[in-house]
Amino acid sequence: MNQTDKMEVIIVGAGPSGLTCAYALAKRGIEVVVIERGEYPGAKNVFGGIFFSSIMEKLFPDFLDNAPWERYVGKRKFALLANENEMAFDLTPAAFNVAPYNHSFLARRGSMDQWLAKKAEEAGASIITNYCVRDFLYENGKVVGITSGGDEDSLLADVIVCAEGANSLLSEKARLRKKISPGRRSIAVKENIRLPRSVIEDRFGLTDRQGAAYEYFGASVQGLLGNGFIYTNQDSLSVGVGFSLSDFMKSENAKNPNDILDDFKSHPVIAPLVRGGETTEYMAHMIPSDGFDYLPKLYRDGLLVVGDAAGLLNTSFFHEGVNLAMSSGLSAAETIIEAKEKNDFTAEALSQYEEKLKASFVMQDLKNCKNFLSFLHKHKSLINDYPTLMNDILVDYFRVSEKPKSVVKKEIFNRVMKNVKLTRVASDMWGAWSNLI
Amino acid sequence: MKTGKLSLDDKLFLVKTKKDAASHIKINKKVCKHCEHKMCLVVCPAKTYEEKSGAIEASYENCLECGSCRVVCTDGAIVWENPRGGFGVTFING
Repeated sequence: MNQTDKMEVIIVGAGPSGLTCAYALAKRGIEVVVIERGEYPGAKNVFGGIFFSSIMEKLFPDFLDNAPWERYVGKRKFALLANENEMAFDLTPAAFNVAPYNHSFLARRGSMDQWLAKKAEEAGASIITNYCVRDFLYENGKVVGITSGGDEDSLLADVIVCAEGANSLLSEKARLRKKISPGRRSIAVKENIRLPRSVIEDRFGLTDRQGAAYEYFGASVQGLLGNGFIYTNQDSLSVGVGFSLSDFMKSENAKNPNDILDDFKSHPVIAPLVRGGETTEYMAHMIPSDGFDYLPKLYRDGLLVVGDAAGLLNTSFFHEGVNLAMSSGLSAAETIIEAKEKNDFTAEALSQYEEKLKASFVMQDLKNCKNFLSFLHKHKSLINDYPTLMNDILVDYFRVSEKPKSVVKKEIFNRVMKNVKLTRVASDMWGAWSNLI
Repeated sequence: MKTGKLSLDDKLFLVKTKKDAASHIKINKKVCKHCEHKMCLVVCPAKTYEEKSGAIEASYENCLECGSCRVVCTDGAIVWENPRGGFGVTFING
C-alpha cells in the first residue's frame, strides 16, 4: 500500500458486520477492501458460541449445507445456580429441531468468519490481513483514509466502515464516543474443552448434529451480573463466564475472571458435564452492553460504525449479536450504495444508516431491552436472593420425611414471610415483567 | 494431555501467540500511584498486570487482547493499543 492508493470503501475488521458489508458492496460492483489485523478473518474474534443465522441464510442459501457450523441449537437450558444446587428451565422444542433450526447454530468464529470472508472475496471484495489500523486520516474534518501509523503506510477511500469489534479504539479516536466506561462492557472468558463426540452426545442427550446451549445465572458468576455457559460443538465444549465490568468493579471480593471460570467448572452441577475433557484453548473478549440510550454516534463525514464497535448487541436473555452485526453491515452497505449514487459521503447523507437501523429489528430490539441491565443492576435480588430462596423452598417441599405435608407447607410459608416482603416481591416481579421480558 | 485442573500459566501456554519485541501496553505510572482500585490487577484474564515495588507493570506477552484493563482503568493510566498487524494472539476456536 502507499499513500496514493485510493479505494471506494475501506472496512476495518473482518468479523460478521464488516464482512457482510463488504459482501453486499462487492456484489454491487463497488471496490471494497477489508483490513484485518489478525492472521486471518476470525483470528482475533471470540463469541460465546451461538451464531444467529437469519441474515446469513438470506444472503447464502447454502449456509445450512455448506457453512462450517458445529451443531444446531436443539436444546436450550436457562438455569439458576445456587451454591450447590441447580434450578433449571429446559427447552427442547420440536420446532427448533427441524430446519432452519430457529436460525441458531453453535460455531467457532475462526472457521465461520473465514467462510463468510470467502463469500465476500468471491463477490469481489479484497481482504488484507496482518494489518492493524491505528487511526483514520482526516481532511477538513472528514474521514478520508486509514493508517497503520507509518508515514507511507496508509490508504484512502470515499468512505470508511469501522467494524473493529467490542474493543473499539478507533470509534474513540474518531470522537464517535467518549472513552468506553465499565458500565458499557462485559468481560467474558472461555475454554474450548475437547471431548469425544459420543461422550458429548451421551452426556447432553443429543443425536446427530443436534446441540445444546446451557446458560447458568446466579452462583455461576459469584452473583455478578452475567452468566456462565456451556455450548456443545461436535467434539468439544465451549465453557465460559461473562459479567458486567461495572458490577465487577463494585464487587468487594472480585476474583480474577479465570478463577471465576475455574469455580464455575468445578461447581457440583457443572463438573460432571466437563469431566475428563481436555482444555485446548483459553480465550477472552469483551461484550458490548452500551444499550439503546448510550450508543455511540453511528456516523460522521466519511465514516460509519457497525456491529460490536457500534454497541449493537441485544443485552437481554437473547444474547443476539451476530445477526445484529450482520444486519448493521447490510444497512451500512445500502447507505453507501445510495450515497455513492449522489457522490455524497457527508454525515448528512450517511445519517440514512441510522434511519435504516431504526426501521429494522436492530434498533427496535435494542430499544425493547434498553432497561434490562440497569434494572438488574438495581434489583440484584432477582438473580441472587430469590433463586436461593426458591431453591430452598423447593428442596423443603419435595423432601421425603414423616413430617406431615401440612406442617411442611406451614413452615415454608413462615420462612417466606420471614425472608421477603410480599409487596416488595410483587413490585420486583412487575418490574421484571416490564423490563426484562 | 492434561485433564486435571489447569493453572493459568498452563492455559496461557495453549494460546497461539506471536510475540512482538515492543509492548503494546504503556502505563503512566504516576497516575497509578493515585489509583484507589487498581482493578487492572484483578480484571485481566491473563494476569498481565503486577504491582512491583509500588509500580504497576504489564507482561504484555500474555495479553489476550480483550481490552478490559483499559476500560476499568478509569483514570486513564493504561494506554492500550492493538499489537502490530499479525502479532499477538491467534484464536482457533473463538
